[in-house]
Amino acid sequence: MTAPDTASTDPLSDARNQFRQGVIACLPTILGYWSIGFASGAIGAVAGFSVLEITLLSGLLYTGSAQFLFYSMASAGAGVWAIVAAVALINLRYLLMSSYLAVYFTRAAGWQKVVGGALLTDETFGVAAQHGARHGALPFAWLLGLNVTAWLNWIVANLMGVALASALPESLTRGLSFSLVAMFIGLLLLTWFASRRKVLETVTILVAMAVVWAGSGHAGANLLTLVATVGAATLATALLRLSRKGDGA
Amino acid sequence: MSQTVTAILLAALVTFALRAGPVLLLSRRELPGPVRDWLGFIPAAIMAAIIAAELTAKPEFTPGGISLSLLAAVAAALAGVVTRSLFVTVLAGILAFLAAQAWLP
Repeated sequence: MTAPDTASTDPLSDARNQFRQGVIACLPTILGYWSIGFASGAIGAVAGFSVLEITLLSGLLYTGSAQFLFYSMASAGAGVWAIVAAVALINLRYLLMSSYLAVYFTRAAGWQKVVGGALLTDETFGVAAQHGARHGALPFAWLLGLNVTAWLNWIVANLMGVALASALPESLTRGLSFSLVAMFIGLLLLTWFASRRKVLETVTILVAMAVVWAGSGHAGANLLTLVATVGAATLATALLRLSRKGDGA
Repeated sequence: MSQTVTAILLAALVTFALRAGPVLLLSRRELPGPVRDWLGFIPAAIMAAIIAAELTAKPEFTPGGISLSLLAAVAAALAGVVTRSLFVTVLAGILAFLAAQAWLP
């Protein structure tokens, strides 16, 4: 590799600086983690799960949608394998996100891949994908700063939700839960503004939304999300190929 | 070990495999062009799908039949287009939701 080495003479302080930048990059999503994590912890406590169980869920499962699913299925008496299968389905999107980020891990060590992948969430993916697209790289220290900040805040927010579960008015919890949607709207807009293929990105977005809307009521939301994602991305790729052929490129 | 804890650990293990697996297995090889193009459209597609799924699953209608979620989503999108700030977008969405909830019929 003859890539220009821009590292300073002190790689440790470089890494520290990258880590700090990663922490800063996480800050806009903290409000979302707090509100959703808080709601998730509160719902778990109200549903009768122990502090240990909620800590394990937020620290190891570490994803709001699957935690909500877990609470409702386990409270309804679903079996272990039914729960695990449902969680796998709802989390299949991480397979796509992780595949997308894999290109940035070409020169990373094995343990860095495991740590970087294990702490992937919808929000950190949005932030990291945008950073990678803009800078052409995802430094591990930066990603670690982003991931660890998100992870710790998520766990603390869940436990705060447990502690304050009974004290909150329902109207406030509903408003806080909406931050999930607001966060994705923000991340989607940033992705769109940063894209060099705005027309095709727009097609992708509209098709994905249309598929979900058209299918709602006929299929489960998690399955629909996957079908819509794969369908929209496939269509956009086909259109891209066609337009290239049309250009004679 | 209780059944709940077993379910938590197994669900977490499966989720870990989904998250770390592709990064571990795909990062060493150069992906073919069409696959890279396809993956490039995944972020927008998946986020759009999640937004649509959330809005259809939880419209949060007021007694007067107005969808609080849709209204707040429009407010958040407008704020996002104008400011291009993630933080402002989230804040505008939550505030719009709470305000509409308090004042709309």
